[in-house]
Amino acid sequence: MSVSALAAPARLPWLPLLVGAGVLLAWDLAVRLAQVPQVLLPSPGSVAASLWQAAPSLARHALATGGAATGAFLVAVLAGMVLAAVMMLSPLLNRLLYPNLLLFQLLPKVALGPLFVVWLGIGLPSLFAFAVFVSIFPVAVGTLAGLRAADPSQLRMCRAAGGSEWQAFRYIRLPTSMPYVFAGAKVAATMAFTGATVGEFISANAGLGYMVMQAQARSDTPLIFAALAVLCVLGAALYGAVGLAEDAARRRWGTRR
Amino acid sequence: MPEAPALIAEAIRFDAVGKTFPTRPVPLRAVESVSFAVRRGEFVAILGPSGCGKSTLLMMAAGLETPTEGRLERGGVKLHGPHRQTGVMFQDATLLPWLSVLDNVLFPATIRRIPRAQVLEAAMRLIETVGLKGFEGARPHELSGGMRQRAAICRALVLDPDLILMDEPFSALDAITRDEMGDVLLDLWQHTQKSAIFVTHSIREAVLLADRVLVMSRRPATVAEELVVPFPRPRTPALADSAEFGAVVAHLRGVIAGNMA
Repeated sequence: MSVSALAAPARLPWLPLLVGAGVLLAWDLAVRLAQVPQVLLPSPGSVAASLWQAAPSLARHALATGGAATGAFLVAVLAGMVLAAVMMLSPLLNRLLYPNLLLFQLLPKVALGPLFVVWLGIGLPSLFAFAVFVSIFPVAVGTLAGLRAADPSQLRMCRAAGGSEWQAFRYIRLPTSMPYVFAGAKVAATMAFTGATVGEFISANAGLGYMVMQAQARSDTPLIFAALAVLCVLGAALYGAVGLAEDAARRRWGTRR
Repeated sequence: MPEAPALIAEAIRFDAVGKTFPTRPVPLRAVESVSFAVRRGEFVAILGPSGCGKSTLLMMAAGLETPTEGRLERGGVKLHGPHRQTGVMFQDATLLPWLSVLDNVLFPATIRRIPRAQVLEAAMRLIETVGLKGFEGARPHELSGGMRQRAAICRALVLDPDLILMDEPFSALDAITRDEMGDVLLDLWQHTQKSAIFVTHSIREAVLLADRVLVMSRRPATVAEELVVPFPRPRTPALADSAEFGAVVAHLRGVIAGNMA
């Protein structure tokens, strides 16, 4: 399915591109005809000009944000999987942790950002911890659901062959959970960028979020748009990388271990 | 028991075995005082209607369920959990979809931490015997239902167990494939000295494959009737077309009908 999509030469999605181009054109026309002030809504052209002019500093800040978000994403995926595995293997820890995890899932976690500044101060540590915090939940909850989705008849077969709980986990539950892990990781990829950007709004002196705040203070709206465009590209890149990893895992999984 | 070397001669023995599940509000009595033994090399079919508790009997033999009464002995020793020398086949093939046919067949070796090289040859031979040669690298979803059960047979046999337990292994297959699988099993069986318990609700299958047929009552399951199948081995599928075969099947059908009345 997605394997063949990858194997086939990539075909450009013409229709969505057409819609995108149409929106840009309409935006440009609207700004020109209605004479919207640049501060409210800059034209696509001036955003592009700003992208070009600020390219060096955009790149520097993009590196900071991209690095923080990717790092936080990786930590969140690993820690989320470990958390789910621990809850799967220990009924006691599951009873203790799972309801709290669900509760946290329901909270507007972004609102807790200022607390991280209180605890860890302004800068990378609080920003990083905050990004991990907001992106760990989808991985943990998704992985746990996947580990629990193992086929009971396969588990029984494993037990009949003399398999221990741990072996059932390793040979049946873990492979079963893989699609769930990737689904959680995709959500986590976007959450990591949300966390990193919001963290930069409130607690940083570098990064695209910080740049947006600076541009806003100077009423440099084209630069805000330019920074947001870069952010979109970064987010899409991480999401795409997770998708590629999923395809690779799906192709390799099982042919030979 | 007059047979002196019972310890050596019996693969498995049920001694007044009973099983009650602690369901609510009423506990479920699944098996009632079942006693029988399977000799080494003997093929015993357990015949009974669906839901009579015969699968529970088999799950106890597999060490997956514990009897609530009586004693269950494997090779003269009380059975504690799954036994290393027992192979099990279930209603579904229960192959792992992310593993190749070969890796599925080798799964029991993986679980028992036996080096792959040590059982690879046996695995390949079994795969060839059941007619899956060339499909070692295929994934389960690429196989038909019958081919999947063939792989499951190989998996049950790969560690060369002395007892095979089969829980209606062909019941999920269509009639033609079902007959075909019976032939594969029959063919495989003539060359081994393994004991087997084969749970089925097909009289034809039971008579064709087994040395002895135990007819179970309705739940709670107990042995209602025992029949020694009078046909010598080696048997061929053609046996099922003979008049004598038909007579035995008819007799058993009468026993079951009388039992259920």
